[in-house]
Amino acid sequence: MDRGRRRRMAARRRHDPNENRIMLLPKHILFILCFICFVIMFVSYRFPNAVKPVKNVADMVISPMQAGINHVGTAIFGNRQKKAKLEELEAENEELKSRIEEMTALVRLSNQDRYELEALRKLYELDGKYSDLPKVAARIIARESNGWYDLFTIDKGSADGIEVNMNVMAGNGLVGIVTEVRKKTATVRSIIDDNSNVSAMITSSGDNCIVSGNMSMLKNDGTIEVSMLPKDSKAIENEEVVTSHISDRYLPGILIGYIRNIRTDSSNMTKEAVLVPAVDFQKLDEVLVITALKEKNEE
Amino acid sequence: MIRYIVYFAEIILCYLLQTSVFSYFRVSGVVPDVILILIISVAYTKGQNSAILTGFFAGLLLDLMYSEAIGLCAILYMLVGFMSGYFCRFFDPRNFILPAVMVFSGEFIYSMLYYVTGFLLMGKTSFGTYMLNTILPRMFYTLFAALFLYPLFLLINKLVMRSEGLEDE
Repeated sequence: MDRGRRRRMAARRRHDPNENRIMLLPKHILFILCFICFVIMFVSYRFPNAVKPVKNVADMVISPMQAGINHVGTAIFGNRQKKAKLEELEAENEELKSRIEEMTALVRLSNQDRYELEALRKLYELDGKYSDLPKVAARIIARESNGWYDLFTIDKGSADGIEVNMNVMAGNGLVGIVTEVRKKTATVRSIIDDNSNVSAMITSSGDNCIVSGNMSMLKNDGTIEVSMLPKDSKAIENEEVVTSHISDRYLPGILIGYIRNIRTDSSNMTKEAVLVPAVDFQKLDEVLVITALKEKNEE
Repeated sequence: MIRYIVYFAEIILCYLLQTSVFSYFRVSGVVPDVILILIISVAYTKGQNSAILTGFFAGLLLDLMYSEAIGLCAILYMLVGFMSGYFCRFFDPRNFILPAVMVFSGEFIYSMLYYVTGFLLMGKTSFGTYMLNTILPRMFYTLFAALFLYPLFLLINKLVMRSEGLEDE
């Protein structure tokens, strides 16, 4: 109580002989706790393993509650969306049925191409495609809480075989990378995070580039940044961008998104562009973690 | 004794609200800073010491789950608690304007400090973008959430004080 504090301060001013306890003013408490925080900050930054047990304990207490809330949340919001979308879906269904007819014809054609492709792939020994890699499905149970970064927590952790630097996908697009693993949960940094950089490649031309998150662009039109594209690159608009072979953390050939607005950058040395991610980050709910690491894959 | 249990329950409740519940009610990509509302209401009703301690524990909980450097949020929340604790002497349970102003400016101070420590020092200088897209929406959304949460915290505080036999003025 503030009243109590004021009374104590008044007592001290009168030099009350009965009041010989050591006084802790708010600024002293603030100073001591700040000092403790700086120590923790230093320790956790320099020796991340030292704080791991504490993190695991906090995680074991908190994550079941988050998972519960998430369960209720998806139940409520999932149902509401379902009702609203039912009519929309019926109309779409009709349209799709007619499309299927067209598609089956196309499939027959593309099947022929596929056999050819498979034969060629064997020839080039490019069979290690990500579709064959082991994956674990996980559910997003919490998002980074302050709106600055795009990190989220998934409900699988080291107990499920998740390790740091494993790639995370949704649908057929890249979502991000595991940055931290606890016993039952893990933290994923998405590619749209301001601090994310992915070494990427244009599919057709094979030109390497860097895909990095950019919050200002993301807020404007949902795109992120592509840079360091060679000046003589012949990439065209809307071409697929995939993870590159030279990346040390990302498995090669995972679809990131589609390139747009290619232009020469201000230094006149390279080209830059924007990228529309293949994954809809607004509606992300379940993800797939590829439980193979890049280094191990190459061994 | 009961009140310390209640304080910890409040911290965890706020943490869950902020990380899980409000992620279903995002407005322009931000969630309200529920923990800050808790700290401000503690600071306003109980004074600096309690606010600093609340900021310490709530900030640490947040850092444990998300930060690489544990303790940053704790320090920032403690500073906000320390500053807003000065207004405890004007406490009046019927006054809702002052706590609203405190939440609004507290969120601004917290966000600014967060921007300076986490972004400006890393060389990200596009302040306008962060101001428009993150800080301002957060300030208004937090203020909005405080309209519901501050009376709730006030009520909980009153009930706890009564059950402990301490009359809350």
